[in-house]
Amino acid sequence: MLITQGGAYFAVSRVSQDSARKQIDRDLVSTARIFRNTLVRQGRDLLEKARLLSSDFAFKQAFASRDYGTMLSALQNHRIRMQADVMMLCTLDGHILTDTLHPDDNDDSDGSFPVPGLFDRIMDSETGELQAIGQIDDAVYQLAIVPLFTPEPSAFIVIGFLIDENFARELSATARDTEVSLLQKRQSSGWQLFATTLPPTLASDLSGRADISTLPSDQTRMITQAGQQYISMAVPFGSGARPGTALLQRSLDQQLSAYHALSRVLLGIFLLSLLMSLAAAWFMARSVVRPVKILERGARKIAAGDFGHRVQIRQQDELGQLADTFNEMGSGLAERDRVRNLLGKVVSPEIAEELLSRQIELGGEEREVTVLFSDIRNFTGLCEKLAPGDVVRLLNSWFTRANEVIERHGGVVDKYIGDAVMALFGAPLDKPGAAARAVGAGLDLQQAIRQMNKGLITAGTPSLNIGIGIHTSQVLAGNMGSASRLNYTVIGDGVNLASRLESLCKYYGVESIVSEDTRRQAPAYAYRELDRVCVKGRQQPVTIYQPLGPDPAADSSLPLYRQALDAYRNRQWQRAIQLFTALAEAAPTERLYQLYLERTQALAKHPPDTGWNGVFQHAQK
Amino acid sequence: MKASSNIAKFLAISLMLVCVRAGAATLNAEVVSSKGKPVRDAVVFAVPADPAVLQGIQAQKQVDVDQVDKEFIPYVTAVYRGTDVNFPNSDKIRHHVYSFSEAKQFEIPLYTGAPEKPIHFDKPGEVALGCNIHDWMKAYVFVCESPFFTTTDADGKASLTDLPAGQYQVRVWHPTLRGKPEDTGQKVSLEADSAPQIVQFTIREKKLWKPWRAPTSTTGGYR
Repeated sequence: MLITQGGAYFAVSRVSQDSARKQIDRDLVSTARIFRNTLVRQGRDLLEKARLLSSDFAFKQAFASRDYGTMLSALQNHRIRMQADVMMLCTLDGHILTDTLHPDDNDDSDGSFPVPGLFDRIMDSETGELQAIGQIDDAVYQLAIVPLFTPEPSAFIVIGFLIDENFARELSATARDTEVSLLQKRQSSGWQLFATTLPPTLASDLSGRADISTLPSDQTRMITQAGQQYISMAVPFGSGARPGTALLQRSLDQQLSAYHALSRVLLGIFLLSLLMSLAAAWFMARSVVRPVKILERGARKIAAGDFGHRVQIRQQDELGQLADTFNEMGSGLAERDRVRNLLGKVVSPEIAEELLSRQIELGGEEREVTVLFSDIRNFTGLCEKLAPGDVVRLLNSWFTRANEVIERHGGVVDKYIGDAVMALFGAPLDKPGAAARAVGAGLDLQQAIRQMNKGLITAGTPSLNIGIGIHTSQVLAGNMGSASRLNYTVIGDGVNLASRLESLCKYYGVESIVSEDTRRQAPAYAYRELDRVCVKGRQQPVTIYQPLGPDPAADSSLPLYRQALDAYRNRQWQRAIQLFTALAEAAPTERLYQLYLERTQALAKHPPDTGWNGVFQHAQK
Repeated sequence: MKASSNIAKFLAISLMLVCVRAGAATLNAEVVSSKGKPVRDAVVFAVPADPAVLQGIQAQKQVDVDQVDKEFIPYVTAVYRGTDVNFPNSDKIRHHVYSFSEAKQFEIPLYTGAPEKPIHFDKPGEVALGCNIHDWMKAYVFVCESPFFTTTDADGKASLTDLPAGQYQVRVWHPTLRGKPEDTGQKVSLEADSAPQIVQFTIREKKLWKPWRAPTSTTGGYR
């Protein structure tokens, strides 16, 4: 904008200069024309005025009388009537007979006509008439000369207008502000100024100048006079030995004064707009750059994770709105962060990641997952004994430990169901060795509850017992629920079985049960086969095991138990009773041996039909 | 034409006057300008060396210089001194004939028809005639000091016949002549009944500017 303004200023300035120059040129040309026309018109005028006298019969009579006094007074009379400046009467060979400039010399007719060469020109002319510029007594006249016919040409009547300051002034008046200087060529001193409208200082500067004569005719030139620039035009006039030159001049500065005013206005506008631009820039800096910086700083903080950062821009414009939106974004991000944190707490970090990292949609995929169920025995009874706050504290304490154990083994807590924990291995991330890790986690959970119980016992709080069920199967994993509220979880028959296995712990008097599918995938651990069962709602029998730990030789009674179990399966009731009895006696706290003993004894009494395959039907849930 | 018929008349009268003398001679004159062109209306006159020759020769009674259509007719009229010249006005408007010439100054103020009395020219020399009303109107009466004169025709030629034998100075005058006729004199000796003598004049002219005649229409104005 400033460039445009500045450009406009300089362009206008330049155009003004050009225009002023052209205007002056035009004016000078016009003035030159006026000057020439004036000379032509005046010359014609003079001729006619001379002719008037030439054909005046009374004057002819006076001339015939040779009475110079009368002739002089007639000339004077005519001069005054014609408002001319000089009149003369000359002989045909150019001697002055009488002359209004020198009334006293009239008797002496020897004076030659003062303009040299003029009479030769008349003699050559066709009419005996002549116009000329001539110098008489240091003054310059425009002259007309006509013969006096009586009726023959017998003398010359000369009439003249003075070309002087008045003439210059009148010419100047026709063209406002044009200075008119009239110069004549003198033999001795070159060009001499004889009339001018210029002030004396400038006039004296002009008089001695040599370059006047070098000025080309009728073309404008810039000349500098007393520090002022004048566009000048030399207009030659007259002829003969002493030609004249009218120097027409216009002051460029004066001509430009109007443009100077315009230029000042433009400059003012330019400065004003400069100020306005600066103000606008300052305002922009304040209202745009500063808020943008604030926003940028805010964005950096947000990027650095400081979602609580808020920007403060009190503006009603788009930036203000942007700041509000930015703050809303910050709130949103903070909210999301909180949700993410909470999600990590509500669901496992893996599930949270799974949920956050991909498009959440309902539905899932079928995959092999090991599901671990852990439950607190007699929790209902425990609740009755404890204050609700203590229950929550106790529960949370356990869940914290349980969670820690499960995560350590690469599992995720799918959900807490009352006092139960459901954990997944192999989902959502398909990490290898899911079954083994689940078994490990189960063993560690047992370890953990034992440790916790030590603390509880010393605190006088009833100790806790847990049951754990682990099963590996193909399940459907994914987001379940409604579109607005959903969970990442797994569903399927296998999940139920895991839950059933956990329920069976109490029955078998063990803390942990894994299915044959899990055991097959976690062979590194030692197991004790518990039973072959059909759980409620499931036709398929499943062999269940109690994980014993990493050491296969942990329990010395295992081979005997194996024999007993084989005898039981082979319907060798007595042998089975015998073996189980031995086992039960050796380990009276083992509910399993007692259980088999009782079951075998009952079967011995009422042997099953031939289709019996050792599968125990659990009607209970 | 009228001028030449006047001359013829004049010559016839002269012849009658001089016929008593025996042995007349003829003089043929030719006048040219400095550029060699024939000069018309030049007055050629022979002044006898012996003034006695002139004794008894009378001037014509009357000569007319007419004014027709705002011009004098003829342009040049030569007369022997002592001749009365009439200035009849053939126009319907008035004229104002004047002369400021040395040989005769006169003025016939505005008049129509024939003036009351003719103008008597008794002093030799040129008389430039003008009209105060019409600047361009101009004519000359040349008053000769000798009765033996003639004017040239368009070819610049003229003849003087029946001149008495004797010595003459033959002179010429013309409105454009620079200087005096006396300076143009050529001595001629005429013998009776001899072959015509030829005199040639070359005139040194002067500028003779004329006032410009206004066109007849009134809108033209004075130049």
